Amino acid sequence: MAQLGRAILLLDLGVCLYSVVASIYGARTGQSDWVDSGRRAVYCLGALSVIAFAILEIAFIRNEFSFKVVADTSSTTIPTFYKLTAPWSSQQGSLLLWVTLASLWSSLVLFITRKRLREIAPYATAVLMGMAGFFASLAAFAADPFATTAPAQTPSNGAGLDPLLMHPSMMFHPPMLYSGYTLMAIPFAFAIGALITGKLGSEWIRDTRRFALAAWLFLGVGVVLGARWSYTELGWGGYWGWDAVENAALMPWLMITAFIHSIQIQEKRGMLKVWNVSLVLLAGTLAIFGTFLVRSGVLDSIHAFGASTLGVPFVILLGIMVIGSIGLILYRRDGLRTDHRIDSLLSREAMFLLQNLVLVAMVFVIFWITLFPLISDALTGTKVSVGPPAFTPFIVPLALILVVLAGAGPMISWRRATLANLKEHFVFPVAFGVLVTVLLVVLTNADTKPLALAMFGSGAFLMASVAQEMYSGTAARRAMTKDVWPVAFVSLVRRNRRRYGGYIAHFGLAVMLIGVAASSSFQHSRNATLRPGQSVSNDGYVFHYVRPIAVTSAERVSFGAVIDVTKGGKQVTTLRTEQSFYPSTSSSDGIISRFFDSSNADSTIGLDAGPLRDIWTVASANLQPLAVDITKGDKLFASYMNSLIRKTDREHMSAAEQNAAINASGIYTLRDELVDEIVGQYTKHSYPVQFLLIVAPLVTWLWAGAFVIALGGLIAMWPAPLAARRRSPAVTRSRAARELV
Amino acid sequence: MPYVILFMLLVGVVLVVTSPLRRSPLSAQDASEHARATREAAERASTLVDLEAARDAKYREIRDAELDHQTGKLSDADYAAVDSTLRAEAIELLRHLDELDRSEGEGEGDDAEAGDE
Repeated sequence: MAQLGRAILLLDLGVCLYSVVASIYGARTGQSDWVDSGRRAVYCLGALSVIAFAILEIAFIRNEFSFKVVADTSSTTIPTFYKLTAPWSSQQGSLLLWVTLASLWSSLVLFITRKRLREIAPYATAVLMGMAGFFASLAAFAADPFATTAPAQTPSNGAGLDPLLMHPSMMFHPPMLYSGYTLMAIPFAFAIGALITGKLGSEWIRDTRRFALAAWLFLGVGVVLGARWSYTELGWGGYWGWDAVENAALMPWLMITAFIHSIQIQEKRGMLKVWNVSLVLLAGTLAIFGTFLVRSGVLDSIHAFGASTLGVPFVILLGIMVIGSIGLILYRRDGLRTDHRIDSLLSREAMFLLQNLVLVAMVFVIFWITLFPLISDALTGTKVSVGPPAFTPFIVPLALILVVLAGAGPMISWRRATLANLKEHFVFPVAFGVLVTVLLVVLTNADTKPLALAMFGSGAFLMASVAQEMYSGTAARRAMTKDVWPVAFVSLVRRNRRRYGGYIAHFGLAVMLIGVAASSSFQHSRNATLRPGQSVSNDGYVFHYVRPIAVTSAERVSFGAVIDVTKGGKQVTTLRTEQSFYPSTSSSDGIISRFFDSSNADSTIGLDAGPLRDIWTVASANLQPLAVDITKGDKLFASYMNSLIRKTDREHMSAAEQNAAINASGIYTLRDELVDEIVGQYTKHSYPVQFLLIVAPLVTWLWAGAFVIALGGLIAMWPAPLAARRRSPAVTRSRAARELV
Repeated sequence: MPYVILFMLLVGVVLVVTSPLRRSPLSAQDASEHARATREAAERASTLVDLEAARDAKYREIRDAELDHQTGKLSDADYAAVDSTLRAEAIELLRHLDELDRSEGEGEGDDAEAGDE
């Protein structure tokens, strides 16, 4: 089946090239048959890529270790759930996933727009298929997921999946991120099409707006799932480390956030065409730049695929995207001009523009600080990593301004607003923000962290402004329909999905940033080394190490601890934290020590999450006292194994017979018994264990806020009722016009 | 077996992709006419879609202004000014749409007559 997969990849490449040529030829000559043919090639690419990906998934499920990628990233002991997710843990599999998702999203948008955007769509098809072809060629020639080994060299078991990737969110995190990245290509491609054809009105924006929103939603969900993975799996207690790869996903997300706000100004006022097209082209380019960071290995990151040879092709692609985008904007600069101007600085469009500038400034800051190691390497020959402290002095003030603008914008009308109206609308949210700030200063120690306090006050202001908007909108709706409050509210949101979906997302943003400010500024973290029975306190909580845990299973050996947490003498929770070691397949490891390889381990944290605070614990297993027994076991079993091999050599056995004889000798049963015995030692003695104990407030607000943002995004993205979109006949429209007068 | 599947996929791809090109062949003159007609139809459709997009955006803007007025963000005087401007712009768009519809109808009529002949 590997041959079939590889042949399909080559077919994919041919289909992409054909689609590019047919679409451009059809567009240039006005022959719609060729355009249709190019579009159908995209559908074929979708079907072929799904088949190729299914072949790879089947290889993982069936443990076909003749596939190099299966041998490198899977094993017989991995649960089926993780075998399904293993394909995208490798460079090769993730490239194939990229091609598959890109082809499916491209098929969807081209199917939806098959009877519209007739002039723009062929060029957009060519751009989309050009990008899909780029990734298909990488998969076919540089990182082949269907590469195989000769039967004689096929291992009986694989190296296994990185334990850190065996986490439920890994099922969804990478596909979500890749969906976000590949969806980002759609508005990018249509913007290029609009620039080439000179059709620079709102037409292409209307048809690709939902895809921009979907890119924003998927990428945002992917980023949050990654943060959740970091918080619950990596064992460092944080959720965001300003890592290069995290930033690579955040930058296009911020850029597309700016775009989905500013396109409203173009739709309503025909303004900011250059700005909008620049934002969408930048977002598309940043999505590829993020992929370059993950796959080239130019920057160190726990999320990256490590060193590879893919950097140069990505740099070439990025160069084409940047130069092509700038060239097209300059070429169409006259068509992108607008006669309209912002009427007043006290208008919603002015707020949108300011918010856009803040978002772009954030991207600018993140971009340069992320690239700083590369810049320092180029200038001084040394890669200098600057880390989180370099980001916060810039990002925190910008985030504060963003929250204030998100709260102020909805309270200001389009086109113009008067000071009297503003005063009336700002009184309640400002008063609420001030009240929350004062209460926090009086009742808590929040004033010790001024920036966090400012975020609490601004967040409260934003939440109050959204609540006020919801209330006044519902009241206005009630006045017209006489509906009860809940019905009027639902009806209001249904009639104005974009507006109120956006407000809900703003509310989520406030909740999320309050959670981030509180948990990062008021976190209490303590390292402690404890023996069973000992206790230590942190932020008023007493952590008591009750007993050690040691468990062996077919997949791993785990060492952990049971911790009782009390406050003021009252039981709060009992936590269980473990560090698990997965057997290494490296022949350099001893027969026993391969079960205790710390480079092949992961942590299960002990977490008590609540609405106001999280208690987070992790224990590093202390295997030092077991080292003597492990080394003795290695020597003993190495000697036993050698004697068995010598015996089979003397009898001139084949490799298969030799394996059968070694299995029949019972050596592996003895090995497992010894591993069990060594693991059992851990619970019989009171070895000291190092703990990281964290008490952090409002972490749950972060996840809850992210959920609310996603909900708001979904509402804004949901199509309007069919009746509202149905084309009305000319007679009706004429009547509507008369009635509008 | 993999070769059989690959052959079937290849045939499937060729059939799907070339189906628009296998429609009844046109003479060179007809092809040129067809291309011209297609281009004109595409331009008309593009203008129509653009106008519809602008009309929908204008309607949304009118509704937004109305909501802003109802929720007290726009004073009566400002609302009256904004609303009348927006409605005038909407009427202009609707007029363009009606003109396009009429010209399309006439075009279709001409085509129909030509067909009758």
